[in-house]
Amino acid sequence: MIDRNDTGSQHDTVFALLPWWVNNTLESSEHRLVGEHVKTCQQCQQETEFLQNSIHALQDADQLSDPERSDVDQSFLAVMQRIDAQEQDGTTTLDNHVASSGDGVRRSKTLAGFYDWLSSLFSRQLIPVAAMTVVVAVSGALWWQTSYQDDYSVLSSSTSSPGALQLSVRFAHEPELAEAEELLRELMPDPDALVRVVSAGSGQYFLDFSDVTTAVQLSAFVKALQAEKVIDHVELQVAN
Amino acid sequence: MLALTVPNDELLVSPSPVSEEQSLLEAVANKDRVAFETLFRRYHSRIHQFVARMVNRHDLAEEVVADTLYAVWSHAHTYGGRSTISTWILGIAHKKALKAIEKDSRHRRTQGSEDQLLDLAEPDPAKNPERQAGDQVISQHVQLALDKLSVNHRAVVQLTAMGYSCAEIGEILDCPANTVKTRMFHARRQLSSLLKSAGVDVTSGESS
Repeated sequence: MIDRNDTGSQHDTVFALLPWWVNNTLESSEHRLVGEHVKTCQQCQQETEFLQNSIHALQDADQLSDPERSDVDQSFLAVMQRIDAQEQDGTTTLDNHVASSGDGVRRSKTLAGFYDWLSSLFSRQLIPVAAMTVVVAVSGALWWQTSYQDDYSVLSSSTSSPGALQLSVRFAHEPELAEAEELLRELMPDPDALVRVVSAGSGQYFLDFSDVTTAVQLSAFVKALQAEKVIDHVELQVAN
Repeated sequence: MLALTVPNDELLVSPSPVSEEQSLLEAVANKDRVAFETLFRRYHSRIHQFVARMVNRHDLAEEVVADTLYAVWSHAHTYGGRSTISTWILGIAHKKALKAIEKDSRHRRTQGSEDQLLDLAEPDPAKNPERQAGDQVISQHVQLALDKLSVNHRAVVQLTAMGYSCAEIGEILDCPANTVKTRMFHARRQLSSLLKSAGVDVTSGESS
């Protein structure tokens, strides 16, 4: 058996990788490292067994709840109908633009009246109206972009990285990294958001957060830190 | 009991050749309906498995799957090739599922899950009945425990069970690999604790 005290770091690394060793998606070097360690570590053997059985249980459930072929057919038809309806709408809109019927003329008259009104407004109060128009247009565009635009092209771009936000925390005493990290995670509303804790010595630690951390979470965390007696100083920084 | 040191090959996602999928998606971007149907049928089940675990409601899951595949049709031209098609599509599914959960004010994560799970257990006479009954009990306990975890933790566990690597899960959930590991660590700890308190020993495949 491996002595945990001597190889604690390797054990922790392997222990974290076990789920992906079990599902066979580790790179070959990591796969080998984990395999060698598991052979001699009882805790990792138990965890492996737990993970294998849990994953198999979920896969069994997934197989049983897989949609029937008829359900997939129905779903496909529904999506195609949606696509057809959307394309039909597109055609209708185009038709309206090129229409030369009475309805089209009436619409043109209405538009002409609107342009006349707009022109007279501009001639009377040109600068304030122009400024207001620009402000409204920019605000509208920003709101629309944030509310309705899903930019799937940026998905999975692997651009996310820890470190955009960083917090500097100085303790009154000089706790060990593990002790400091434990306390910090207890105070963080979502412990997952705290990606990394790095010791800078003399009781000072730098904290990295995941990209999905919200301002509300961070604000609550800072408040909780400031309320802690064992913490002297908290400072928000932008990491390089 | 499962073999201890040999990871099961069945757990691997068996991806189709990338070039073939890329040509399929290019064809979809050019509004080729036959290519879309091929892609639709290939991914429907996988998206459904992932989304169903996230939203915990069959009807909502089906809605999210349809929304996802519709988005694939309308946004195929935006695929930049920076990830695999599989992770790109599941990334869309993840965003859609989160939006659906947010919109659905009546969504209750744990309530009703027991009723849903009872429907899952259809006995297969080809299997050993005693063993199968045991497997089903374990399976139900694991699912119930998983339902009690947060959406983020459930997503990581489910994607791992579906055979995705840590890096791929990070791409799908749009977070760093370290966050995936942290979420998985907490999820494992909570799962283990919930199963122990329910009297289930997953390591020996028995429940008391």
